[in-house]
Amino acid sequence: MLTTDVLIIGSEGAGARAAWEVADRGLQVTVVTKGRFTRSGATLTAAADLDVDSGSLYRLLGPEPLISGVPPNPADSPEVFFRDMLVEGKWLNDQRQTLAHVEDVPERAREVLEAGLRVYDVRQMPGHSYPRNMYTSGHDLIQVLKREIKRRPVRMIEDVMVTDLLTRDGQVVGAVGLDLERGEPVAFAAKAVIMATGGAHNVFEYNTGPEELTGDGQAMALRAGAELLNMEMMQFLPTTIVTPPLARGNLFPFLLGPQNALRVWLLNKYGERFMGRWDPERMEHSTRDLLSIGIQTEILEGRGSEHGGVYMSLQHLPRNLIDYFAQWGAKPFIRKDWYSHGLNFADLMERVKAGEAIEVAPAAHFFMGGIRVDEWGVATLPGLFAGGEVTGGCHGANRLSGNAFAQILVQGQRAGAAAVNFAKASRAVPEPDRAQVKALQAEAMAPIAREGLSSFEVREELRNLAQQKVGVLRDGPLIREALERFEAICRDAVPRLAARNRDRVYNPEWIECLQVANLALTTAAVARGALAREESRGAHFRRDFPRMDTTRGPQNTIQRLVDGIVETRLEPVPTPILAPPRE
Amino acid sequence: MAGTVRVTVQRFNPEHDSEPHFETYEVPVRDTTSVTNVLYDVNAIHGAAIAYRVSCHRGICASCRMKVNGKARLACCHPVDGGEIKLEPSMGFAIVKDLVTESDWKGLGRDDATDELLD
Repeated sequence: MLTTDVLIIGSEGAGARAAWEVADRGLQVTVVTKGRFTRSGATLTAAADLDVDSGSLYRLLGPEPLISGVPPNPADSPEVFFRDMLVEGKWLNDQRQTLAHVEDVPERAREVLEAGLRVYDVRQMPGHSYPRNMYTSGHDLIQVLKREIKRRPVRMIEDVMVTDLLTRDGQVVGAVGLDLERGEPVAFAAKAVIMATGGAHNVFEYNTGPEELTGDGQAMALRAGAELLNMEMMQFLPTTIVTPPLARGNLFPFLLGPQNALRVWLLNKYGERFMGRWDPERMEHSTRDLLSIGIQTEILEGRGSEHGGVYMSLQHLPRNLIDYFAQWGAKPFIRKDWYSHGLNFADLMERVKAGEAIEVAPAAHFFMGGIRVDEWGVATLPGLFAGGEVTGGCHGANRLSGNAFAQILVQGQRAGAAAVNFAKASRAVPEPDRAQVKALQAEAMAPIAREGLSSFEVREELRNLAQQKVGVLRDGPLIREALERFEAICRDAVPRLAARNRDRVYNPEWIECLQVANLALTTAAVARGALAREESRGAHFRRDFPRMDTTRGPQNTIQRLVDGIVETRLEPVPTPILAPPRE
Repeated sequence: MAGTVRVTVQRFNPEHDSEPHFETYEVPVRDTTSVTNVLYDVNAIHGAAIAYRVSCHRGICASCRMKVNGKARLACCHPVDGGEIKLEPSMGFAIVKDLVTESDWKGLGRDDATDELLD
């Protein structure tokens, strides 16, 4: 058993920033990841901006505009930024978290800029009152975090999948997992554990997430007895590639427009600009939630494109304007030759310039819900902390562009600091319960010891149900149908998942069994939350409750696992700082 | 477009192999897909448990670097329309299993001390 002061599960954005903090505060820190450091997770993949209020940005970067010609505006402040987040978050934000977010991010941004973070541009994205979006990339941010981690005494353990948390007397005291390289069970004892495992995107056929995001952190937290918050709040990126499968879910069309750059048109199969029905003023320049709902409605009601999306058209734009975009528009995410990272979109753009539209559909992009934490990343179970996308509350019902990078830095730092304070209060690393270690390790080993069900088939069923029934558009009876299956899968299928191949060393089918178990439980939580929230708010849209519930004010869905069922209750959202406007 | 792809993969499992060998699998391809999607299908359909790394699916992380038809490629971005492909692990690193090689991350990788602590 490995003992450490602080154990961090997940090595990228929030996990790396937390490790940096723990090391700086002088405690022993161990980071464990099922992938590889700097080569996995969502942070790296972000074609992203880092939000800082424009007043602070003015002080950090100076008054000169960059590529887009938009200079930072000193009239902005953390208070205005805070208000924007609450307005776009539909007053579902954990206000203390959101306040910490806007207040801390200038300092977190200063640190990474000083550490050499490259900035390409400053822009003003939808939902922001001022230009706050400092354009950088996941790759650039990860390079900074890598250098900072390398300079500190951080023990980094790759290719180990943590499968469950260890608890003793109601406190988290470590974790067990599977060493993927050797196929052996492992165990960790720690004074404090920080969860930084990201979202659960891979339950959706269309998703923008990397392979690792399988809801591990949310599922482990539930199984250990911690609470989740607002799991039904999922953001979909409205315009991603439909076909071919090589690029399915790729966000190239989103980088091209409508939010980021070119004022494209979204058309249904009749050629109608349907966004007029949802947001007549902003049309395609609307927010991500409305665009996703608008597009998915066309698809569902039979007005979609040939391959199951809608048409994104650039035909009203001059050809030389489109060519010019390749030079300035999405740097560094789209190159002049229309490569976006490793994928070549030159042929597609030739067809666009010859008159074709791009077929696009929404893809699962971000989990606003997650482990319930306070503004210091303290979960509801003592000894457990969390940061980044695995947490819930900061963004309320909709995340603004650029706030994911801001979140991982702010929450990573805070969770690191809080975990250190907690760990310093205990003299010795607590001794885990040997029987619990053995029992949980046996569960991780079970898929190569039993006969049973194929994880691939179960994942396929989860994927179809999630995409069709708990995706962008939701409806009571459909959610109920899906939920019954999710819960049946958790109860009957998960305990029988088995790898046909019994290799111990790096067996992808075995890993898949463990991941599918987490996906099933996390998705059951999403469905339970979606069913309990009988209203439409932000990213959560119920066709049977198309309006926001204004009679009782904003409510949180709070969940915990009781006898295998994700029990869900509603509680009013506390508003300690700013009261929502009267409807 | 509908057809099949024949994929020949270099297999090596240190648990029972002394030398790498090749195995060939066939899976359907409906429309242009990626090498990593094909590997997923081979594992799903044939229970082959071929070990490979993949993360970002868009050519950023380079986890999926391997030899495709003899050339170093990022498997997640390499298009497959059918026909035949041959996959081998990338050069220069020790093979953990099949197409998974040891991490190239120097200085923070697993050392013997960590391995002992994990026991």
